[in-house]
Amino acid sequence: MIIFSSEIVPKDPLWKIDLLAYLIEEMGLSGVWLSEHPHNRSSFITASLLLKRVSQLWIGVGVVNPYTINPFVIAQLTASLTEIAPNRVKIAIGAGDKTTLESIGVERSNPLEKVREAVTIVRRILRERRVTMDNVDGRLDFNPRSYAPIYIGAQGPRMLQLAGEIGDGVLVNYSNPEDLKWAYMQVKIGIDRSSRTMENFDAAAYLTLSIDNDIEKAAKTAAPYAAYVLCGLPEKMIEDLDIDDKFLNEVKETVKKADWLKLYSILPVEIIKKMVLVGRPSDLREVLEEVVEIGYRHIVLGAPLGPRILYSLKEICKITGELIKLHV
Amino acid sequence: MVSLEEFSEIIRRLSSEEKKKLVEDLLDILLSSVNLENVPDEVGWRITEAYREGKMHDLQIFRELAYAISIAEPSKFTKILKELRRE
Repeated sequence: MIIFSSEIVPKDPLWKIDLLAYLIEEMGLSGVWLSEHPHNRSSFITASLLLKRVSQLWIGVGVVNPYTINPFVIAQLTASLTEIAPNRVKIAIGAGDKTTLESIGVERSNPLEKVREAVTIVRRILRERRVTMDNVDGRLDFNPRSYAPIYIGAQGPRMLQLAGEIGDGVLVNYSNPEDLKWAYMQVKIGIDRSSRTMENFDAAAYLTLSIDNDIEKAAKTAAPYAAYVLCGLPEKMIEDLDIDDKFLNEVKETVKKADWLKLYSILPVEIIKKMVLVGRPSDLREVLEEVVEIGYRHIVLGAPLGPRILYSLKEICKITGELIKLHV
Repeated sequence: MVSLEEFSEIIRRLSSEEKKKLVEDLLDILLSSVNLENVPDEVGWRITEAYREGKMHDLQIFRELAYAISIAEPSKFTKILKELRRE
């Protein structure tokens, strides 16, 4: 069985997010991931609205990072959400991207240890209401109404392995089958280390998409998202892509300043297409089939989706509906 | 200059099929806009509620949609209006 969910970025007004979630529910997807970014609306606050406004979708919050939100507070917020909609809450934890964290004065140190500690704290609080470890001794004075599966947002090999080792699932933010296949193997290493199997683990391919018949427009819409993905890539990937430091720093500066007009002029379409799945609906279908072939059983259809969001959503959901029927 | 009165007049003359298509196009333009911070929240919420209640073809909602798009995407709204005038 395959499940499809969609990403909503809380950068737009809540009324739009509310309407998009309603449309996504109407179109038969399983859930919505609300991405977390310090420049946008809070994903937790947005989730509390959506969980009341939709009745079938689960809502995933993430990827939240333990540098900007204390892990105990992540657990408290997640537990509070389960009271609004038990068994319809998921949480994803990751180390965040260095550029953004630095821009708000946060140092990103020991990411693997930080994520491992955060997952442990959130899990213990959700399961036992109490956590005592190292320098943390905390408790909740209310009962979480359900458990919330904990995903790890990962791109680098060691974080992917950690996800396989301790996560309930993983969000792998790559958009081409080659990288996704490599990532899946890394997750599998972690799964083997934990003596679990992939069947009891939710490996989610988190594709950044821009789908339209007008490829030029689709690429333009994808540019800011491609830049964010590029800035967060592990060093090894940057080397493999043959991207030099000077260019990368220029992109980072442009992202920091949100100078999208400049970004359109400096970011070549070939780079955008390496970071984001830019194409026609038929291209998407081909890629989704390859991703399923790799072994992923959960595919997140990530923003921006396309220059005409309603058109893209409809086209995407036609394809996902067909694939769900094929893989029942 | 965009005239909501003129827009309303044109909508009244459309068939229900034409209205349905226009609503979809308008909603797509609105939801795809990157300028939604300029749209008053109460207008956005009225559109959202109308969609949930299946009232998107009410003249008042057409006016709300037109108003929101005229703020968020003025050039696209002018283009739509020109096309509607031609038809």
